[in-house]
Amino acid sequence: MHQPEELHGATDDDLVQRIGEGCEDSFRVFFQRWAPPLERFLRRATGSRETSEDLVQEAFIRILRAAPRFERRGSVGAWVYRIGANLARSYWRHELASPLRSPEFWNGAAPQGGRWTPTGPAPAGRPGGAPGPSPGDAQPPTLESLQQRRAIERAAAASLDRCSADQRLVFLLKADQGLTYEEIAAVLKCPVGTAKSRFHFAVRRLRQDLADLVDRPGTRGREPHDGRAS
Amino acid sequence: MRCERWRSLLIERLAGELSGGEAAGLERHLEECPACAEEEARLRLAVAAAAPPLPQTGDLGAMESRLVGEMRRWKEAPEAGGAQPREPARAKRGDGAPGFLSLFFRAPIPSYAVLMLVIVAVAGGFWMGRAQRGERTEGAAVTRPVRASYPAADTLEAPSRPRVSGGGGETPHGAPSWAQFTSAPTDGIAQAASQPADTL
Repeated sequence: MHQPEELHGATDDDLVQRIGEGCEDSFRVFFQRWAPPLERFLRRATGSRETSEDLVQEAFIRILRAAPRFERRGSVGAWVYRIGANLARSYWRHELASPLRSPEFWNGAAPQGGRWTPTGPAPAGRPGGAPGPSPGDAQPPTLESLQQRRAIERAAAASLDRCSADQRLVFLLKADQGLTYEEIAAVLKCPVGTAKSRFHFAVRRLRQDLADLVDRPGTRGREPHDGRAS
Repeated sequence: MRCERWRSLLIERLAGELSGGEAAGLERHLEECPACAEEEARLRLAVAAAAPPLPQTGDLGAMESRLVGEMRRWKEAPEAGGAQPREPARAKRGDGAPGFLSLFFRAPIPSYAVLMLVIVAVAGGFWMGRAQRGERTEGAAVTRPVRASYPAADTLEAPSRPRVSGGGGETPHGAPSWAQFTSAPTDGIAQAASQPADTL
């Protein structure tokens, strides 16, 4: 029996191998390592905490079932995200036409501390971080700024809804999970150039759809930015 | 023109995918060009708005325990789906369909194409057969004299309608007149109508 301390340093490949052999401690370590980023990714994709937790459970059941047949080919992280991406796709296809518009999402996504913050720390071991505005100024939020921010977020969600499922997935994997193009390509089994062009398409679409809101005079002044171009 | 070149790199900068040389060059340009710096800030704002901050992930301990319990159950009863796990055969569309019908679910386009061809062939055959029969009948009718198929007008018998006696309304052939038919149920108005106008 492996000690959990020893297992914490084990690679993902080793853990999955041991899970396939029935090692519960390995499963616990693997779950603690991968469930939070996967839950976050699925919550972002579905807009619902309950749904994301259901999907995380479904993802780990699939992992448990597939572990005995696991072959060391490719990255385990890409495999985990691929399962999550497939679940998200299936959810979008069958459950909701507009996944990012549920009231729970907007209530749950209330800005914390009243500031723009980066989209959260990158998951442990993930390269890079989520691209986003750095919290340059910590001014207390006004009602107007909160309403404006909420309007921009709604418009952004609607814009993202209009992207294809693949573009949306690439955007979320890049902007929220901080994966590299190579990792995204491995998750979605597509060429790196395709992942890159999908991200560019989604960002251009966002920029275009939000032009009226973000180009409004004074918008930038109230929203944090890197402070360089003020 | 100079700005266009750098603007194409702004999204890559947001994605954190710029190489060292390009990143440094863009950085210098952004310090010198307020318009590009403004555009970069707006791009950041748009991207951040699409991925706003989320509350922390809740406690997943209960889920972990459930899954470990499931794993244990599978280990104890491998046939339950765990130790030699197999993805449970998810019902596919058409799985329950007998024989060739399942083809319509597995390969719908070719199956429906073949079905359409069969329908067109059957309909075409039916139509051709009908057309041929029609030609044969038409040909026979043309060669046969008309008189042979229909009796001459003078040999026709009068229709066997019930004769209505009296009233003087009979036709020259003995068939009842219209007035007799209409007056048969002893209708006063009809009788009045059948009388000469000067008697009214």
